[in-house]
Amino acid sequence: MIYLDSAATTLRKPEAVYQGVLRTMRRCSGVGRGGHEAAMRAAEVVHACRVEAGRLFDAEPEQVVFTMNATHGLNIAIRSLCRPGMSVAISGYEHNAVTRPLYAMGARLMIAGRELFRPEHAIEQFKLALDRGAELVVCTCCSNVFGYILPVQEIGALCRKRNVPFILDASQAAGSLPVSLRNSGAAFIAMPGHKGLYGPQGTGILLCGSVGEPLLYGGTGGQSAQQQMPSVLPDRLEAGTHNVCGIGGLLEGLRYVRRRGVQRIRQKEQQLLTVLCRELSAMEKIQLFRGPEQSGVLSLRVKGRDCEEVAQVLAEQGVACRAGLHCAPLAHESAGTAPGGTVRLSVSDGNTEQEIRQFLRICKKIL
Amino acid sequence: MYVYYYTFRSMTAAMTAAGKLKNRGINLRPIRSPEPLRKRGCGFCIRIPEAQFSPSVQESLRGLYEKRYGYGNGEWREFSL
Repeated sequence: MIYLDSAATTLRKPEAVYQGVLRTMRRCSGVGRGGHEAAMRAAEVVHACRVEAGRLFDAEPEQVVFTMNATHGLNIAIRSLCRPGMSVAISGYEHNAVTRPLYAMGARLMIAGRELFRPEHAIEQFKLALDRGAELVVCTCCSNVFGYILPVQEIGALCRKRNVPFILDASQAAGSLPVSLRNSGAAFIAMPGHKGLYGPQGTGILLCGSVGEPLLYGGTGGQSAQQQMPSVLPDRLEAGTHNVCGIGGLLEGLRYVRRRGVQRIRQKEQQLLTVLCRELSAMEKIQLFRGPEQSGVLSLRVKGRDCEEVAQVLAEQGVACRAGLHCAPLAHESAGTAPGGTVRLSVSDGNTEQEIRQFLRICKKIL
Repeated sequence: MYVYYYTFRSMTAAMTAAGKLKNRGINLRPIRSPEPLRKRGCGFCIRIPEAQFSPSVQESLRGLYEKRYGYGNGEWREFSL
C-alpha cells in the first residue's frame, strides 16, 4: 500500500512504538493504583512520557496531560475557557474538533482569516477580531485540509498583548513543526499522539499553560477522600485509568521524533511534497492547492470528477488517501472547495520517494 | 532508625522528585503513603532512611513536596516547610 493519509493517522510507526505498546501491556497495570511492581512500572512509563513530551514541547511534566486524542484535549480546553455567548475568534481553517465544542457551548464565532495561504491576512483579521472584542482565540497551527501553516506565533503575541486566552490546535504540527508551550504563551495546546508523534491511536496530549476544568470526574489514585477533583495538574484533568499501553507506545514515538529531529522530519516531508507537486502540476486535469508555507499535506481536485470517486479509484490501485470535507467544512467554505471537497494527500517521515514516484505513475495512468 | 517521608500532591510530582534524587545517585521509588500521612485519602510519598538523608537532599526536593515527616521510636513528627 502507498500510504498517503498520515494527516489522519500515521500508519507506519517506528518499530520501537509497537514494542513499547507490547512491553507496557505485558508488564504494567495502572498508575497510582497500588504500590506494587506492576503499578510502579506503569507510573514510570507514564512519567517518562510526560518528561519526553515536556522536552519536545517546552513544558514541565505536570503540564503534560494525557488525553484520548486532540479532540478530547480541545474539548477540555474550550470548556475550561469558553462561556455561553462569549465572542471567540477562530481561523477560517478550523476542524470540527474546534467548531463543534464551540457551537455546543453557545459561543459567538468570529471567523478571522479565510484567505488560503495568506498568513499576513490572517494576522490582520485576528487583530481586527480582538479589537472588536474577541474574548478567546482558538487557532490551528496548520490546516488539516490544505497544509496551510497559520501564523500562530504572531496571533499568540496579539492575544498576550490584550490578555486574551489562546488555545492552539497542534494536531497537524506536532512532530513536524516547532511547538512550544513556553514560547507560544498559549493557555492550552492540544495534539493527537497518532499522527506526527507516531504513537498509537487513542493517545493525545494537552499541554496546559492554565489549570483548566475537568471534562471527566473520577478516580485519580490520589486525594481519594475528597469529592472534588484534585486542584493540581495533571491529576485534575486525568480521571480514570490511563491508556498506559498507548502511552508506552507514544513514549517511543516521542523519542523517535526527538532523535530524528523535527526539522529533519519537516525537510523530508517537504522533499516528498516537492516531487508530488512538480509532477502533478504538469497534469492539466489536476487543480493543486499549493502555498509558500505548507506542511506535508496537499489537497487537489480533478476536473470533472467527484473527489470521493477519485479516492476510490486510487484505493483500488493500492493508494490510501482521503477525500471529502476532512471533518473541516469551514476550511472548505473558506477556500471555496465546499461542498464537494478535495482529495487530500499527506506524507510522513515513513514515506519514500520511490512510493511517491509509484503514486505518480498510477495517477498518470488513471486520472 | 529514623526515616523521613516526603508527601506529594500527585504521583507526577512524586516521580519528578524521585528523578531529582536519582540524579544525586539515590534510587528511591515513590510509595503509597502510610495512614498517618493520608490527610485527604490515598497519596504518594518518598521514604528516605536517615542514612541516605542530607541537607542537599532536602534542598533538591524543595518546591516539589507538600510536607515532610519523620518517623522514629514509634512516633511521627511533622516538620515545618
